[in-house]
Amino acid sequence: MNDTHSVIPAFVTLAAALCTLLVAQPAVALVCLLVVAAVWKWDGMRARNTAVNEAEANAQPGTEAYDAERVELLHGASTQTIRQLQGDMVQIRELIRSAVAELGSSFDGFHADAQTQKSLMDEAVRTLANGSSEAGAGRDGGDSVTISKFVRDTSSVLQGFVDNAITASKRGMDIVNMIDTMNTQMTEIFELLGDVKGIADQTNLLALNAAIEAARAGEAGRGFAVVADEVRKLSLNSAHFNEQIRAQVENAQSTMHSTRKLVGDSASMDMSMLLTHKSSIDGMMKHLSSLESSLNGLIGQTSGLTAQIAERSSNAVRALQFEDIVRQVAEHGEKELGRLENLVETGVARWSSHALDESVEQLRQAAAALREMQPRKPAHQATMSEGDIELF
Amino acid sequence: MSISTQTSGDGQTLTIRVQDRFDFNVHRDLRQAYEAAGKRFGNYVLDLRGTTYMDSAALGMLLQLREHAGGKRQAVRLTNAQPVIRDILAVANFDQLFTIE
Repeated sequence: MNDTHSVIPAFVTLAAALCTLLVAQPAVALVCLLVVAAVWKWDGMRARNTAVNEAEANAQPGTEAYDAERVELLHGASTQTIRQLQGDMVQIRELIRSAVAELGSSFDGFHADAQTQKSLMDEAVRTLANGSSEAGAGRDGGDSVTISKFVRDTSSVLQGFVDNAITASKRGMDIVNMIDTMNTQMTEIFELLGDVKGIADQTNLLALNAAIEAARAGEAGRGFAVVADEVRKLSLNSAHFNEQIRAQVENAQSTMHSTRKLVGDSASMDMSMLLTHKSSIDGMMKHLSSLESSLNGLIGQTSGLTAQIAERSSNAVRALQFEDIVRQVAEHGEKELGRLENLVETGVARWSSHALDESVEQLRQAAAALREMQPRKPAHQATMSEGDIELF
Repeated sequence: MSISTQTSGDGQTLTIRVQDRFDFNVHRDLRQAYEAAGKRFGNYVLDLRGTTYMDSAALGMLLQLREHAGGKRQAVRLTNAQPVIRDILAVANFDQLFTIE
C-alpha cells in the first residue's frame, strides 16, 4: 500500500512542478492543470472501482502486480491525453493560421477598395468643381458642357432675347411716331388740295363770266369765247386731277394706317411667357446651387469616411500579427507537452525498475533540470492591445 | 380714356397715369400726353397704380418717354407698380434706366 500511495503523489508532484515551470505561460499551464486534474480524478475513480471490484481483481492490493497495473493504466491515460492535447494544439494553430490568412487578404482588399473609392470621390469633387465655379469652366476653355453652364447660357440667351425684344419695340414705336408725323403731313396735303380746288372752281367761274362777256360782244368776241371755253376746260381738268391726287393721298394714308398697325403688332410681345421662363430658369439655378453644395458636403464626408476605413483596415492588418505570437505560443506548448510525456515515461520506467524510492527525488531533479533547459518564453503579452507588436 | 395727366403746382413735374392695359393702343394718347405741352418737364412720373398689363410695346414707349425726358435715370420715375408689372420691369432690367418706386 505504501508504494501505491507514493506513486500518485509522484505524478501530482511532477505535474505541479511542470505547472510551476510554465506558470507564466498561460496556455501550457492550463494544459498541465487539465492533465493533473484528469489524472487525479482518474486515480480517484480507479481507487473506488478497485475497492468495489477488489474480489474480482486479478491482483490484490498491496501486491506489486496491483501497483504495476495502476501505474500502467495511469501511464496509458496520461500519454493518450497528452497526445490528444498535442493534436488539438496543432489543429488550433492551423485554424488560426488559415483564418488569419483569409482575414489578412480581406483587409488588404478593404484597404485597396477604400483607396479606389477615395480616388473616385476626388474625381467627383473635381468634376463638380469644374461644373460649378467660373474658374473651373475657364480652365477647361469652356469646352465641357455641364448642367449649370447650360443653365447659365440659357439664362443669358433669354436675357439677350428680352433685350432684343425691347430694342425692337423701341424702334417700332419710333417708326410709329414717324408714321404719325407723316400722317399729320398728309392731312396738310389735303388742306393744300382744298386750296387748289378753290382756285380751280374760281377759274371755272371766271371762264364762265368771260364766255358770257364774249357772247355779249357778238362777232368781235367770238375768238375770246373760244379762249374762255379752253380756260374752263382747264379748270375742270385741274379739279379732276385734284380729286385724283386726293384719292391717291387717301390711299397712301390708308396704307400708312395698316403699316402703323403692323409695326405696332410686331412691337407688342406678351412678356408673361418670358417671365415664366425666366422664373423657371432662376428656380433651376437655385436648385442646382443647393444641389451642388449638398453634394460637395456629402462627398467631403464620404471622403473622410473612406480615409477612416483605410486607416482602420491598416490597424486590423497590424493586429492580425497576433497569429505569429499565437503560433509560437502553441509550438511552445506542444514542446512542453512532449517533455511532459517524456517525464511520464521516465517516471514509469524508474518505477518498473524498482527505483521508485529515489524516483520522487529524481523527478524533482529532472524537473529542476527541465527548468534549466527552459527556453526563452515566446511572448509576454496577454492581449493584442498591449503596445506595439513584438516580433521574434 | 386710359391715359390721364396732371401737372404739379410748380409746373416742373408731369404725372401720367396709365389705367388698365398699357400696350400699343395707348401709344398715341401717351405721346400726346407728354408732347402736348410743347416743352420738356424737369420730371416725369408714370403712375402705374391702375396698370394691370404691360407688353414689350409699353417698354418701348417707356424708352421713348425716357429719351424725350433727356435720357437720365432720374428724369422718369415709375411709381406704384403692382407685383406683376414690377416683375416685367425687373426682367427688362429697367431699374438701371428708370427710378422705380
